[in-house]
Amino acid sequence: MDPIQTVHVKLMASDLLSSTVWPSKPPCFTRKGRPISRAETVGVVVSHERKDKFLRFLVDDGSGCIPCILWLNHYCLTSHGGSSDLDLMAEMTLKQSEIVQLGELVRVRGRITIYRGMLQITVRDVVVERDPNAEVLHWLDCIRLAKQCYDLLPAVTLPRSVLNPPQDGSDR
Amino acid sequence: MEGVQILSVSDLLRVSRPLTGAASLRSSSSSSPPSKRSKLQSIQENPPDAPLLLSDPNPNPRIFSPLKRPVLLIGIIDLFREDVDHCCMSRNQCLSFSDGSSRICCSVLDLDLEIIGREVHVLAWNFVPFKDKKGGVLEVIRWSLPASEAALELAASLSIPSTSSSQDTNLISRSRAFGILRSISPVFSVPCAKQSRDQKNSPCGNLFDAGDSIGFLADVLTCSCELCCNSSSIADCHSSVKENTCHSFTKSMFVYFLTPTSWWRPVLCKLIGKLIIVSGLKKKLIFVGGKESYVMFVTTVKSVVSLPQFPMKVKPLIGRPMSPSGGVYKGVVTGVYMQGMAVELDGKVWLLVTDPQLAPQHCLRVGAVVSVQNFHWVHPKFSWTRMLLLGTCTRTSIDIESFSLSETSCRSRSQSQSLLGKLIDSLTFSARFWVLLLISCFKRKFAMIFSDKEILGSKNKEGLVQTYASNYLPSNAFQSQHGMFMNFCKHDQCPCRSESSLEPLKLAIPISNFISRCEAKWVMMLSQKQQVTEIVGRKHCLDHFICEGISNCCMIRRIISSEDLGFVLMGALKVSPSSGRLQLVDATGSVDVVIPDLLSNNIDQNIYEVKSYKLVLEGLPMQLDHWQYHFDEPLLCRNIFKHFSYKRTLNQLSVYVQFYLGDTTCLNVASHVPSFMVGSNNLKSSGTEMFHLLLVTHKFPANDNFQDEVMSDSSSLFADAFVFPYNLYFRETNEDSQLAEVMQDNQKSKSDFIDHQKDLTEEWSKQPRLVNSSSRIPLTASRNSCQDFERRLCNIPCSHSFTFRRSNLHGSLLPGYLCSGHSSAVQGLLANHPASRILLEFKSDSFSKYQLLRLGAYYILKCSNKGLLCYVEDCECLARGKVLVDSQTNLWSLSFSFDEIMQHEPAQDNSSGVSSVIVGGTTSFQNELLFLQSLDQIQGTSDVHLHLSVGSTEPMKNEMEAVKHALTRFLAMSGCILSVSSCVQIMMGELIRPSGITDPQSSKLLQGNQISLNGDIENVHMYDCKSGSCMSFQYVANGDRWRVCNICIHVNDDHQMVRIRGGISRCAYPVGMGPGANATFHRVLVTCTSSRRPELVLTPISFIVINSIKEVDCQHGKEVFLPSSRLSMLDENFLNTFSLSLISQMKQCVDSKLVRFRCRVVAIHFLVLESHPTGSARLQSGRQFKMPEVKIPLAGFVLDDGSSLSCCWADDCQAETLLRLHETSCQAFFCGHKFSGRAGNRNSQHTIGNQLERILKKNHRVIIRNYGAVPDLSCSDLTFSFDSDNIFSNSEERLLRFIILNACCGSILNVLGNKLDSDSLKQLDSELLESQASIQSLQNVWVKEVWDVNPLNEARNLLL
Repeated sequence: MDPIQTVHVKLMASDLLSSTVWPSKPPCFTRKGRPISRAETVGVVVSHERKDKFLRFLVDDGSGCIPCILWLNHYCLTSHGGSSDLDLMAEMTLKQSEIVQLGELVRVRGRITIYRGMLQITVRDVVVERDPNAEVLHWLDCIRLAKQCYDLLPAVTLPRSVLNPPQDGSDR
Repeated sequence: MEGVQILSVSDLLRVSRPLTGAASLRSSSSSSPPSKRSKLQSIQENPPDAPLLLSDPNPNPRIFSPLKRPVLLIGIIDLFREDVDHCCMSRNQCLSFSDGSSRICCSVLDLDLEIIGREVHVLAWNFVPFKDKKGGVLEVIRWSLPASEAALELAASLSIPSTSSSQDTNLISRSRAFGILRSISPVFSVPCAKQSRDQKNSPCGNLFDAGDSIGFLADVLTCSCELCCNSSSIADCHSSVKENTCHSFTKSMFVYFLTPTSWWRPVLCKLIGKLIIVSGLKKKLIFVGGKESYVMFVTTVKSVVSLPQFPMKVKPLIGRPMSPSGGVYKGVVTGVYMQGMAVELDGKVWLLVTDPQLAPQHCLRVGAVVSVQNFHWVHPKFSWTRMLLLGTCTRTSIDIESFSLSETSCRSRSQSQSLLGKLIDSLTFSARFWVLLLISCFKRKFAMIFSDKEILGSKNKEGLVQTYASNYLPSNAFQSQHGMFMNFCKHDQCPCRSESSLEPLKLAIPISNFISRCEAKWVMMLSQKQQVTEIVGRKHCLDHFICEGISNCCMIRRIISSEDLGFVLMGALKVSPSSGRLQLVDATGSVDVVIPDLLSNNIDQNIYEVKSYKLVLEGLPMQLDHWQYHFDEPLLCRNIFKHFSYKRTLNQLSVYVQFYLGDTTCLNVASHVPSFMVGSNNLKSSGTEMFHLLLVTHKFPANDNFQDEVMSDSSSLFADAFVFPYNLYFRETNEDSQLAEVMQDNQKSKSDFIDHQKDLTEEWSKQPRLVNSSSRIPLTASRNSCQDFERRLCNIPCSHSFTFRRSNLHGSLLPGYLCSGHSSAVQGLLANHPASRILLEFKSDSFSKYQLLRLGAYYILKCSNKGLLCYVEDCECLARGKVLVDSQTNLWSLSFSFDEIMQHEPAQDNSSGVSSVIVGGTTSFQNELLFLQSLDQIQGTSDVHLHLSVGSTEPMKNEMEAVKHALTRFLAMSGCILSVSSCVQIMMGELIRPSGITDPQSSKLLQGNQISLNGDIENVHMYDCKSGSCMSFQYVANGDRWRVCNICIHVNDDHQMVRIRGGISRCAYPVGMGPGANATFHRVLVTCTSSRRPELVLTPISFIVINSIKEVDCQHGKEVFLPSSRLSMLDENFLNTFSLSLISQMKQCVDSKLVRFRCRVVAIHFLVLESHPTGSARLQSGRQFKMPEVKIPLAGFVLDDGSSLSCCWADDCQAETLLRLHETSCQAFFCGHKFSGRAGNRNSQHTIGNQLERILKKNHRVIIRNYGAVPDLSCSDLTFSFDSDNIFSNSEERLLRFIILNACCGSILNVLGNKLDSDSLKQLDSELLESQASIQSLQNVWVKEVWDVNPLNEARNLLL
């Protein structure tokens, strides 16, 4: 397995959004032939839509806007006999949703998913960065990682499922 | 008067206790009938037939006893007409009261001329006995004439009794004075000799047959109108008063009341300001000083003083209130000091009584109301306070307007005839008052050191006060002295004029007042700071810095110059036996001092005057309720005069003073030349004296047991020293007569001091340095002959002159090792001879010598061997490598100088890449105080100064070079002092050293290298105290109830910061240690913690020297948070120098290489939590911001840097940081409910830290394993296991889950680590590794350091 498949790749929005989507179930994403599944981005929240079950927001990192979704529906699961772990995670997710405000500089990690044909990040955790220089450092890290890691290794053989893409993408 | 008991004077004298009585006491029955009980009680208490003046078995002499029944005194009020004084005041102030049984002094409030010589009924009175109980004073408050006397209408007049029978009111006298009595002088006498000399001109000679002429002067303002000028008799005067009310009394006329009319003064002083008629005068011209002449009217035996028969309104004579002279001041006496010379009125104005005859001393007591006329307003220029002074002169009159009932002691003061009294009389008002304050200060300061006679002097010998004052006071503080005639007649020449040109005077205040003043200043400063804080809206002005999660209050340090304080310090230098600190001591207290140029370790009993100094106040910015600290201003004059009760109230304030010995003046000087040199017998018998030269390289700090060791005769005071390869040889010169002359000069200067102390003090004040280079006696040594002599003996490297303080002596340097061969080879050998190290052991009785010993300084030690051939190897003194220093052993400090400037450059060892620091400043920056002056600059204060002169010949130059080389080498050997940055490099060497999982047993031992370190102290705090309680930092600095304390010192330079921890004893805790200080830490240990992190440790042999301090003021409301990664003592900048790498690239690295990567925690797969063992380094107190008492022996984290995942192992601090415990431990967490996630509820027991502690206290050890998929955020696959049998509750499990989840949601961190090698991996739990297959494929890394990311710096580094 390609090691970058298990890590949160640091890619600029333009780079991430131009990744190749392989219509499998679940869909696979490759960048320059290398599979990626998780991503990390740093940018300013430019759009903010809060619903009962989710928070949808756009992170603008200067090169583009990455749609992010933070699911808040853990309670639905816990009310149906979910574990205390889910309960705890629900609380933490709720707390994270509160810190995502328009104009904040946030660091988002999560899985790369697709929704209505658009690439997005399903948020694992979000952190507000107090230092605006964090964004610049992220750019530089993206460049460094791309040069030293993501662009280096040849693409590994894709799994068979990738070769049979699904008809529609689901986001979860 | 029925029922009134008549008392006699003899009754009063017999009882001899303060009494007050009245004839018109209302009986209680007449006003309000008392109850039966109270009436009965009253009768029982005061039976009518009981003796009124029962002698009280326990009389309180400080309280007036009121007589409870009406009493009356009947007697005659008269003048003292006897030649012999009844009391010291009888001439000037006192009337007499006699009733046939006895006669006592008397003072009458509303005196009428008609009662003089007549029997009166005294209706209300006080009686105050004298201290000797041989008399007393009767204060007549109300009086009346008996009916028989009142019927006689006698003229109110004063006349000579002997002529009263033939008195004729129509006496035709040649002169008379009619006018307003403006002022009178005290009674004075003109010596008979002068009288006879001036007999031709003076009328006195005609009046009196023999003896001194005694009298007083009166200034009468007369009227120049026609009516007055033409009135030829007293009757005319009376009629002129009646007819013309438009008199203008402006013309001054002097009346000289000669004996016997001088008796009238007590009456005339009551008539000041009134219209009087003096008849029977003779007009005379009196010459004063042979130049000035005054027309005076002299009384004769026929002179009569009378008052006008008709009342006449007289304009008050008082001048403008603020005029330099004149005016009336009425006030209540609130203090009488210095035998009545200084009187405080209304608690704010001071009356300076220059002549005891001016004041009614019997009645001038606290509580009396006085009226002062004809005084001088003076605003003394005192630098420490502002005050108003009423100066008295010959014209001043002090009248009692109300007697005191609050004080009962009667003062009597005689005219001082001592030298000090004469000095005081010659001074201006300000200077005079200053001297009075000085006397009071000196008497208190030197109460146990000098006798009163030594302080005050005597009739023939000056005391300490006079010596000091006469040298201190400028010439314009002295005023020319005139006789009474001149002073009285030329009153317009006001002495106050010279006051304005006087420089502000400073006072040598008692140290107790000084300390109290410092405390008051501190409280004032803090309250001002508090007010400012409140104004800007911040309520919390307490500033904190947080180290290891423990909040510590920041210190404030203020440096105040002596110029801003306005007083000087004076006392003896002494090493405190309890704290080991050098102190300035007087009888009232002591203050710690720091003397940068003190090199001698032989402090004597001299009294030093310190005019120029810097006061340092250090303390915590505590919240003050300023009402809580009320200080009676310690520099008020009354607090200087009286015994000032002082009790230190602010334990958290540290007060010390820095000054240079060179800026001090020595008041009394002991001999500086040691006895073995002065004692000629000893010198002659020995002929030669040999000294070893020692360079002190280290002092082992004293522990607190040294006081106990006095009895046990053991010691724990040690110092390390090198023996210089040359010995110092003190010898008799070939010119014995010359040496004798030197000795004679020394003896002479010593005796000169005793005989002419004043002259010497003047010299010192001009040349304040203790050792004056100009006073050194130049010797023209016959160098050539000496050299020849020396060279014949052995290989003499050089010759030199040898200065022992004030004395120039001869000596030589001889090689201390047996050498042979060519001279240059010998020199080379000597210069490179391995240093012989010796241990100086100080006995307990030489504690002060140990304390004053300075690191890096040279000392000479007298060798017990006689003769020149003493070698270090064979010397008995240095046998066994140890020298015992007791109270008899002298270690004299030594300084060198050369003909050419010698550079003492310590050799720098650059091979290790570390730089050394030159300690000992030369210049101080603004608001920076030097604690140690460089040795090159303080040659003047060393005991011995050695000047080496370069010879003209080549061998001599070689010799000199050899000595220089030896000196330089020695200084280099004495130890390299590292900067903080260099220290960090060394510590990093420890860090880089390959490490795996080390044996925990071996890590308990302190191992490592010793280094010396110099840097600026950023903060000092305690982390544990053996006293068991939490003490503040300042308590540590000042307290005397602790012996050993564990402190943590943060030291930095411009680039790096390190932390030094360890125990320190009270005696080794230096003055000034705290933020803002530059310090040198000698012999601290570089070691590793159990988590293999390098740290600096204070050991029992570490010695701390403070080099300088700066002012420190913390910012309001600033809370400095030091993240735990910062506590790693390794500076972020330094850590960032490690190359940034990617986890994916680690496979190519060697195992030992430290690699930095920027990553985030994505999962925790293994975590062991333990309760922290007791006696840990953490403070066991209920502080708010503390870290939980948790130990993390091992934790496994999955880290993600964007390139790959890695399995990182960490423990202790690193694991805490990765777990984000320092962030979450303060947050509240409610088990079973929603967590707040905010740090607001810090006091709550529900904080995560507290709950975690409780869990671990119950379960001791918890192991958490995660079997979940690695990158996903989930706690569903966590398993918990623990040591105890307790049931792990859901809430506890929930808390741990939260901690783990929270750790996985943090931001990026910098991690420094190395790959775990296979051996180390095997030491990890194999079962653990097997059970988690998902992480087996990951790269294993051991984490060395974790610290926060500084995005700006790191972005810059990436771009570079």
